[in-house]
Amino acid sequence: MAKVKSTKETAVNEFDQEIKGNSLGRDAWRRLKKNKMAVASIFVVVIYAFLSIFASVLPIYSYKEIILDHQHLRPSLTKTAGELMLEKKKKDLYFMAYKDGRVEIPAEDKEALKEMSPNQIWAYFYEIGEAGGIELNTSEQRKLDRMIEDIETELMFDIKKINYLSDEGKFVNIEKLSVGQLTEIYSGLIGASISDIMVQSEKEVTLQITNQTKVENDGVSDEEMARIIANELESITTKAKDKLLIATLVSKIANQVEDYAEDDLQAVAEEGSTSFPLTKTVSVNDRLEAKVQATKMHDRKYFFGTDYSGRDMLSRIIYGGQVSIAIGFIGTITSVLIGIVVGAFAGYLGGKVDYILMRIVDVIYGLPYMLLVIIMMAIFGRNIMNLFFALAIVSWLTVARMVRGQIISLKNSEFVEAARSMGASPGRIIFKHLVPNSLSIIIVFSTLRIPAFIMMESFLSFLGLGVSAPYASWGSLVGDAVEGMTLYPWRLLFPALAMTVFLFAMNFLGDGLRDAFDPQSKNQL
Amino acid sequence: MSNNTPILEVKDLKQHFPIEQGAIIKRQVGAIRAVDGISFTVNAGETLGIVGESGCGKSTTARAIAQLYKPTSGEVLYEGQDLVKLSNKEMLSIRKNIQMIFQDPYASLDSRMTVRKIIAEPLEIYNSHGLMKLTTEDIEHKVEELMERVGLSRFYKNRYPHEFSGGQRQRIGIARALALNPKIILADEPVSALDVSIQSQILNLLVDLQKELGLTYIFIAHDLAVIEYISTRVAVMYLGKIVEISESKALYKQPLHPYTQALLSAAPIPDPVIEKKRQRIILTGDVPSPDQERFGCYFYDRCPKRMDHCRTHIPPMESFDDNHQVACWLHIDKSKWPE
Repeated sequence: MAKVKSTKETAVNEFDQEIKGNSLGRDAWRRLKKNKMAVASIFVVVIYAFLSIFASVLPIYSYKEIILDHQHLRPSLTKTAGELMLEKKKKDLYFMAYKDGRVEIPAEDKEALKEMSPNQIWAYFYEIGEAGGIELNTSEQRKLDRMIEDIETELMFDIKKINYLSDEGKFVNIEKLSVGQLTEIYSGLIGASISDIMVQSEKEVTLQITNQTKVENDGVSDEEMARIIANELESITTKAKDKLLIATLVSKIANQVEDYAEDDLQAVAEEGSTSFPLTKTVSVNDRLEAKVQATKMHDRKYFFGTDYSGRDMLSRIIYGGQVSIAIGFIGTITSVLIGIVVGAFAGYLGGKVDYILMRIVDVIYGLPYMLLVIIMMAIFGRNIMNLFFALAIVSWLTVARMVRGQIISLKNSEFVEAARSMGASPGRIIFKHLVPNSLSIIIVFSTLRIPAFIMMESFLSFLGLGVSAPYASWGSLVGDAVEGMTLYPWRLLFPALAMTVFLFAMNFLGDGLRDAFDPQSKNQL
Repeated sequence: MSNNTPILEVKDLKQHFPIEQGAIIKRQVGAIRAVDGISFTVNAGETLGIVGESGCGKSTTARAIAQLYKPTSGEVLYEGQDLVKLSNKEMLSIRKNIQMIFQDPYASLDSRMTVRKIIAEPLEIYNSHGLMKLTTEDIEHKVEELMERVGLSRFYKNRYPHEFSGGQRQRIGIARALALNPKIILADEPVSALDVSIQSQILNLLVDLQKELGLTYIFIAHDLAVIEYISTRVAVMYLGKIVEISESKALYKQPLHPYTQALLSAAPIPDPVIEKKRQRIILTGDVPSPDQERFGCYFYDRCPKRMDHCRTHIPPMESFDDNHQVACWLHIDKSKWPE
């Protein structure tokens, strides 16, 4: 059988070689590469995407870990949290000393103080105090000393794994054990009876389900709520319940293990000779052992500062970016997919189908879309999936109109007639000919649509309708930061900056793509 | 070459495009009579040329035959089967015998597809409907064979249409039309968008392909020289009607219909001496709009030889001799005129 000649056949002369075609897409890419702004934007977007995707494996602190001692620490590249805490405490104490009238300052400075912002005032007294100009009384000094000691010795424990020596003589992760076994272990640890623990855990699980249900069904009447909760408790499967029970028991055991580890390691820390972080296997009893990592709590560094609960702003911005960018992309993709399908069928089939679909679009267009989103969020509850859904449902309209227009202008061209003359079905014509031919404007539109989505999400979160704690998005971070804007400007600045840079990059990229896909464009490079 | 077995028969074909008014409830207020009752037969292996000025319904005829439009009335019989009445599925099995070549080689190829994909598309469609059973390798082989048959190097198959010249693109279009081994090719002004030198190449290619593959052409053009060169028979259309249909040589030698005479007299002659002596028949007025029903001869408004009778009676197609038919009262014996 005549085999198809391999494409790698050696060329004999210039007319006899495989010639790789230059698609319009590759042509556009070549033009895009010449646009410096667009290339820079691609880099920015790639970095953001990288940070968002790999957020969970990046060496950053947890975004939801609350350390109340670390409340509102200013960003610093060099100082540890402990040093900053001390600085903050000192500022506070020095200022109190001034208030008590124990500090003498020149008269002109006194006038100037009235004009200063709180942060400047604190800085002013801190300078005087550090130079030795402020005498602290003994109780204040004691407070400081205690704080310094705490900073030196306080540890944080991260329990990596708890193993249990099973009857077969093997160590197994306790998460894989059954409810009965866990209850037994826990009773062994705290010395309470198994039945008491069973009752207690059952109660806690019931409470968990109740709370969960309450959050999910916000705004219903009390009787209705009671009915829903009862229903929920009834309908839960044994398997799901066991899962919750196991989680509860594991966390209880972990708490106990942490206490053990604390007793064990605190002495080591106070001695001051070992270096941290320290990973150690702690044997609780002869059958239970845990791998624990201990770190000095106040050795942390917060490059972007912390928020009102002492959470790391850097990781909150990265995780917030994850949510914001995901909403931008997923929202755009969903709306573009719906838009393409609706627009393509309306445009290609024309007539009544077109008329009905476009009137639906017109009607939805007429509704104030933000109000629609807000209502939907209120009805279906506040969670990220509902936010995606609500935004996607109101934003496919423009895509549908745009695609329809493009399809109408293409559907009478000869290549479509050619496809019909060889028997291509409408579906094939739409998805193999018409959509690929309108793809360039769809891509450009989508790129410009992503920042719009992020803005919408941020707006909703800012209003408190979007993402809720412990999750964050750029919008919710900015929204949270507005309260303490003058005192803690970093809380507002960094998320706003992160968002602005990304939005700029997306817009430049969109502009670059538009120029690249349109060879007739005036700002051709 | 041509024998007398008709492969395609068109009977009283009408293609009217409705003019609609109203936003929600559409009502028809008129119709553009693009093709208004034409009949002809095409024999296997011959080339039927269709000429006429712009807007006379040539392209619509081709599209109605290919069932790209659903004809308003009439029959299109392919080997005795009426295409108008077929379901989509039945039509698909016949479609492969009737393929089209389009006028604009730039618009008729999808600019997002490589040449390979363009030529393979009809094969893939038939494969996906189970009407052909080809492997990817078969298709690849067939594409290369087709490209070489139409005079393109098979090494160009991964290129995109915008990387080719007009003539090469038209060759791609021809290769695509040949992919399903059709019996009839409807060529809708395949050379009018090309340079004169390229036109002859494409025409020769078409003639060669006809000889090799025994194709039947319905060839539409408004260039009389092109039609004379390629056609065995010629149909002249005016305002959606065929006014004269004849063996090519006879038509050019002795045009019978006043419109054909005017049309032929309009073609310039390359020899300047003869050109000076050429007597043009200049028609007055414009082609009337095809949006109204006519009860007399369609050419009445502009005919230099019109008679009163023409205004009220549509002339029937009458045989002048064996292979020459004309629709004009001048060529019908007065005794046969209806009252």
